[in-house]
Amino acid sequence: MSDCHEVHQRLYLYLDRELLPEEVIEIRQHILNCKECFELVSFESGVIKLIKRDCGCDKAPEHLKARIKSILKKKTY
Amino acid sequence: MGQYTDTQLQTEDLFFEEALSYIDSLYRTALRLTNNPADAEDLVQETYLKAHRFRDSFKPGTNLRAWLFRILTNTFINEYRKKSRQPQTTEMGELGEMEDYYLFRRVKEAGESLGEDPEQTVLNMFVDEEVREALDSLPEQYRLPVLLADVEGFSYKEIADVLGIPVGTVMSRLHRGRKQLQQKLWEYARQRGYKVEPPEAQNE
Repeated sequence: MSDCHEVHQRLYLYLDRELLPEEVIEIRQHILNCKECFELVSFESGVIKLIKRDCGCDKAPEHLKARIKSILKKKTY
Repeated sequence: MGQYTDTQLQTEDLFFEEALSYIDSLYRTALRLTNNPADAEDLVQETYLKAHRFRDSFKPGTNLRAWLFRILTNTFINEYRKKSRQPQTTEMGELGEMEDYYLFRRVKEAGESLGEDPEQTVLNMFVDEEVREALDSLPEQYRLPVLLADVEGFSYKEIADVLGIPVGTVMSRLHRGRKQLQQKLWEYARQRGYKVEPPEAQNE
């Protein structure tokens, strides 16, 4: 059974999906019964999603895609 | 002409087809590294040229996306970094003193309720410019692991391979990067007279 300290220690490992399934279950069980840890985990998950939301939506311009495609084509054939 | 067999050509096609499918994630990473669309385009183009040139050093069946990111980050570090005026190091001591989960603790200290869904509350707290500026403010040794983990979803092991550093170093840099980013976000929140808006109070 994990305690709050352990959850704090392994929080990022948990959110980054770096834990073993049984460790994940332990943390989930703890979070279900501990409001403070639930808040922290949910909050930190929000910060990570924030970064993905705001830094992860730029797309390569079409002219760059076209340029690279044509360079690779020329070089291959 | 004539130097490739049909099968070789097909394999080449598949290789570049898969490589090209990662162009958006390579570009957005390049953009966050160079802070400049023209440089980002050059960096991505050079990445593909090198991928072509060193194609034989790629082992089929291994992670092509990580391989391309490795070329991109190496090229950036060796060639583009000189142009950027960003500081390469940070005051380690000062940062080392900073506590974990910085933003969470400050928000709690401010006595604000995080509502039923703290994750959504955080997502409502900041706008995209603030988040991008906070990320851009990180020294690149921290910015890269944060980008690779949080935006691109790479595992610690993959990040270690991309950056050529041990997994333990990935973890400590990611940790520091996140801390520093949270400190910056808290600065922005305070500058605009921070107020938490729980999700239910928002007009969707």
